[in-house]
Order: sequence, then C-alpha cells, then structure tokens
Amino acid sequence: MGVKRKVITSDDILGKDAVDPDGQILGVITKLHIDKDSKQLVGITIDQGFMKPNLFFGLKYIKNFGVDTVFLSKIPTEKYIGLDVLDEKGKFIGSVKKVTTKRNKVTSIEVHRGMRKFSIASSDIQEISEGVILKPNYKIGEV
Amino acid sequence: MDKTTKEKQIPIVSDKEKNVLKFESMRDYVGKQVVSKSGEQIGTIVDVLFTDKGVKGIVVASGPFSRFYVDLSFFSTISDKAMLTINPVILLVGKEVFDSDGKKLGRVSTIKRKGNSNDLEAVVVKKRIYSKGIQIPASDIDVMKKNIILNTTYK
Repeated sequence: MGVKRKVITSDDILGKDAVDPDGQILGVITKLHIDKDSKQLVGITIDQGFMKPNLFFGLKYIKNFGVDTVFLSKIPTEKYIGLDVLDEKGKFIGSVKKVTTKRNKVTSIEVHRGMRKFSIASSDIQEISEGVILKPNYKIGEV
Repeated sequence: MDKTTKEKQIPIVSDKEKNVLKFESMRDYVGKQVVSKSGEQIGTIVDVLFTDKGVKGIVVASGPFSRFYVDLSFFSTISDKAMLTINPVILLVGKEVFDSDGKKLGRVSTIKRKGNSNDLEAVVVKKRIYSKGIQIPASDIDVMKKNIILNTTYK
C-alpha cells in the first residue's frame, strides 16, 4: 500500500486541471502565488483558455490538491455571466451581466435584455447552474 | 402560425367542436428547446407520442445521433421552452469522472438505471474505448453536474 505524500512540489500542481464544486473543469493551473514574507502559498492562477480572463483563487478556496486535478471549494461568479435567464415557463428574460455576492453567496443578479437592465434577488431564483431559472411571480428591481 | 390564423385558415368539420383554439397543435411542440432542471438546454423536441387518450411523451434530440423519450409527467411546462423537472441521467454518458482524491478515472460509457426510470443505479466508467470498465454505484457519487465527482477513492 502506497503512502500518501504530505509534501508536494510545484510540478505536482502546475499544468493540472482546476475543477469547481459542480465538476466543471475551469482551466489549467499556470501559476502559484507565494507570499514573500511568510513564504506561504497564497493562491493559484487558472488559465481558462483563449479569450477568457485568467482566474485567481486564494488558498482558502482550494479544497484539495488531487492526483490529476485540483478541487476548488467555490464556484467563480464569472461562470454565471452570459447565462440565459428564463422564467418558470421557459420565457427568455435576458442574460446575466453581473453577479453580486455576499460572503460567497449570490445575493442578486443583474440582467440585461437589449437596452433594459434590471436586477433579480437570489430569493427569486429557483436554479442557477447551467442556466438561470426564476421562481413563479418573481420580482424585478431597478439597477 | 398563431391560433387565430389557424382558426381562420381551417374550416371546422365537427358536430361537437366549434372552437379549435383550445387545442394544442403538434407544431407548437416540435422544434421547441428542452431545458433540464439545472437550466441546461439539452436538446429540441423532434416528435410527440400519443395514444387515443392523449399525449404520452416527447422525443428529444440531444445530438445528431442521440434521441430519447421523456414521459410527459417529467415536464413542468411546455410554453416558450419545454421545461423538465429532472436532469435526465442518460445524459451522464460521456461525462468525466473524478474520485475524491482528484484522480481522473475516465468517462462514463454506460449507465445502469432502475428499469427505464430516471433513478440511477450505477455508472460504468472507461479510460479508453476498449479498456475494461469499472462499475461505480450511485451511492459513491457526490456531485453529478457538469462532470461527476465521487465521495470515495478508486484504484
């Protein structure tokens, strides 16, 4: 039976896939960030690929450094931007332009449809994953 | 074609019905996008199956060679889009599987369900097409969304 190594090197992390709590591969880890004073690892940079911005994840959002992947404990809110927002009947309401969070929980989303902009509170959201589905009788607020 | 046009263009021959507006047309269904419970657009309606007692279910095309039947009871509404109340487990085929140690085990090649229901019993994961697959029971699955994450480690 093999013994699990407690200490790993940068080679064990760089180039590996970063996986969010939904199981989605966000990209490849390209950088490790080390605090010069404390000499501790503080975070990682994830390269999301062509035309997508790099993501920085602090150490507290890294669940574990796995064999082939690194598991993250937080879904980046950037993932929700551009998702279609549908009402409970499937009617297209708009697209997510901005996500507001408080303590890593989504509190509201800003939705754009053409020139119209409005916000929807998280209490009116039934599902936010691959798309956004609203609850019946949802309310829209001004931006 | 809206219903007003439909009524105008079609003369009614019936002793019982005077208004066809209350009926739904097959055209209202076919071509509609199907959205899973998680909000993912999983395909389009290509056929509607019915008996003499009414509509029973819908055939969804999720790819050029992938079609499946979904019972009407799994749809919450069919309006602008057809909204499902489930995430069909048959769409797990092809998804990547990671164990709790972050090890890539392969991709789902087949799934085992209770009969034809949406209740998952196990997934068979293969690293390569011709490799021997490993069967993973549903109880070992922690996350089943974009990909599959297990709650245990596999060798």
